[in-house]
Amino acid sequence: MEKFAVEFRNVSKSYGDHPVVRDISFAVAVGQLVTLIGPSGCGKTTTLKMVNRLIEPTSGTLLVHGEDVRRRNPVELRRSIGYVIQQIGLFPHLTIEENIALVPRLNRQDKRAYLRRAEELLDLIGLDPARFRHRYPGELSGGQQQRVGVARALAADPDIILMDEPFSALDPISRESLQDELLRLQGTLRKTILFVTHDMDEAMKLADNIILMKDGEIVQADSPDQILRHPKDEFVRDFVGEKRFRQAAWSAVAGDVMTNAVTISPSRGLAEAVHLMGRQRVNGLMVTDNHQHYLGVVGAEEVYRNYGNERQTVADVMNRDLPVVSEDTPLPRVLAAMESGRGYLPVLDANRKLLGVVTRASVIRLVVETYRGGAANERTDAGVVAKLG
Amino acid sequence: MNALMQALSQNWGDLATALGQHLFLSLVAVVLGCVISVPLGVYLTRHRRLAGPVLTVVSVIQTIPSLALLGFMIPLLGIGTVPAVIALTLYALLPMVRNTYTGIQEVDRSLIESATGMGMTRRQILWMVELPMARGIIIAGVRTSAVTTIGVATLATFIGAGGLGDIIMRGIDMIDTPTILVGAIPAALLAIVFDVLLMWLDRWLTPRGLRVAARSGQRRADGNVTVETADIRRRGA
Repeated sequence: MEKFAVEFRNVSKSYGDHPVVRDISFAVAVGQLVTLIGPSGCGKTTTLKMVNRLIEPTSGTLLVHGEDVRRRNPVELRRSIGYVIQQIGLFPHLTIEENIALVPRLNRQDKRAYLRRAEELLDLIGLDPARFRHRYPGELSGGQQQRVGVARALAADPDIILMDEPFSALDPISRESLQDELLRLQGTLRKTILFVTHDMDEAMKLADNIILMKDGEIVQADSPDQILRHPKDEFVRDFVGEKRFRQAAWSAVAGDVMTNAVTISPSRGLAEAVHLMGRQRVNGLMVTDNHQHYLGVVGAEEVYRNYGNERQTVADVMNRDLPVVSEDTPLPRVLAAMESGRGYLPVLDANRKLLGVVTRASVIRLVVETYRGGAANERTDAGVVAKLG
Repeated sequence: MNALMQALSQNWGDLATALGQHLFLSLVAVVLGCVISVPLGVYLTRHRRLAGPVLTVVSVIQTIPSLALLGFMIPLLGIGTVPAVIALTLYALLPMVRNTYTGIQEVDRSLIESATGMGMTRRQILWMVELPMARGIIIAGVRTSAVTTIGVATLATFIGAGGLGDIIMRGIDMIDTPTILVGAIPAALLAIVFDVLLMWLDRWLTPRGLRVAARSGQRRADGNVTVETADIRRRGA
């Protein structure tokens, strides 16, 4: 099988003397979700519409699954490519079921087969078939209509789907939920999706690769992470937005998110540990020696399991195997370590001295602060480990 | 009233014939008009540069006084049913051509775009999207044409094509109002009956989805929120 689902080779489009797309080349690998993004008039929609020949290029070659689109019958080509538009474009005089089943019907599929397919797809997009199949588009909310729009694009099981700002006319809540839905679907269906948007948040959230366009040219084509790490020029920085660079999770390290730890010495009894946890409202204590060297963790779990034995001390029950991180561990690795650990992570220096602890609450606090525009690098010092309850 | 009943019984035999002729003239003209106008209107949406000139010509025909139009037929085609039908057909064109053209023009562009993008052929778009969506406006044109044609058909008597005009003219010649009414009232009733029949046809042909869309515009505006929150709750749970 060929590697690229869609490939542009030096494609240009102009209307009279006015160039809209200038000599662009890029390729979309099979199963990738690529967003075309840029300010209005940058040629992103024109680029998209050349794929299913709604617009014909002035020059250059466009390959779909390795075959020049000019050699394909436009009607057949379009039926093999899903298409979702911003205005949704459901036919108001047809039921939801008839709308979804339209392309299979045009392809003269068996009626029973395409009605079953419509039912499957309604299920897939989270609309109850029994309730919705015989409704009309006019009876649905915008969000529900666009769900049907997506289902319709999937009906003939195309490998490639083109989406032209599909969610930008929706209210923010529907938009979020449709984006999540698309990610979920893409996780199982692995279609090749070309997605036009002007919304950087949307692009960052959905894309495997982002193609950033300006004045009909590609400015930068990269993964969201690479664009954040290495914006090519001022335009990219501006378009992506300073805020996003600041809040980009990779720029934070464990030191940015850690908070002061509640410590206990290894010789203390378990009743004392329980008392301290209750007073400080935490569910885990860092065990340190007199020089603040880290020894282990005693959590509610260890204490309650061994509480019956009055002679045991913290040193006897503490957990020494919890993952630890250093102050400059990048946040993604911190979060990964937290997944495998307890929901709190000791932060140590090179001499295994305890510097603080990262908790779920302290990570969330960082996110909140960056959103408010506060300095991300200021340390949080709320002085608690994980809040109880 | 008595005089009217008397006139009616006197003209009874003629009335049936005249009504039959009148119906025939009008029906043939409207049906022929439809057969010409709707395809012509569709053609114009495909060749928009022709739309202006063609619509102008059709409008000019409409501005010719109906009596004169019937008169023009005499040197060309003589007298009788054929020239009358042709004149009436020409007269019926404008509302139907114009409404077909604008009806299709006004179909939401995004529907055409998504239809094309899904891989529908021009013909499929016409039959499955444009005509169903423009149906209401096209039938409104047919109704206007039908009512006008039934009225104008009363003049067909002047070129010897018969119809209710015969009775009306006889009444005028005899300066006898009841006889005029015996011709005029059925003509008016005929127009009303046709209008109502076409209105029913329109309702019957309106796809349920379009009726729903028209009705629920308001309801959807406030129903929206509840539906969406219910969805969120379900997902959250």
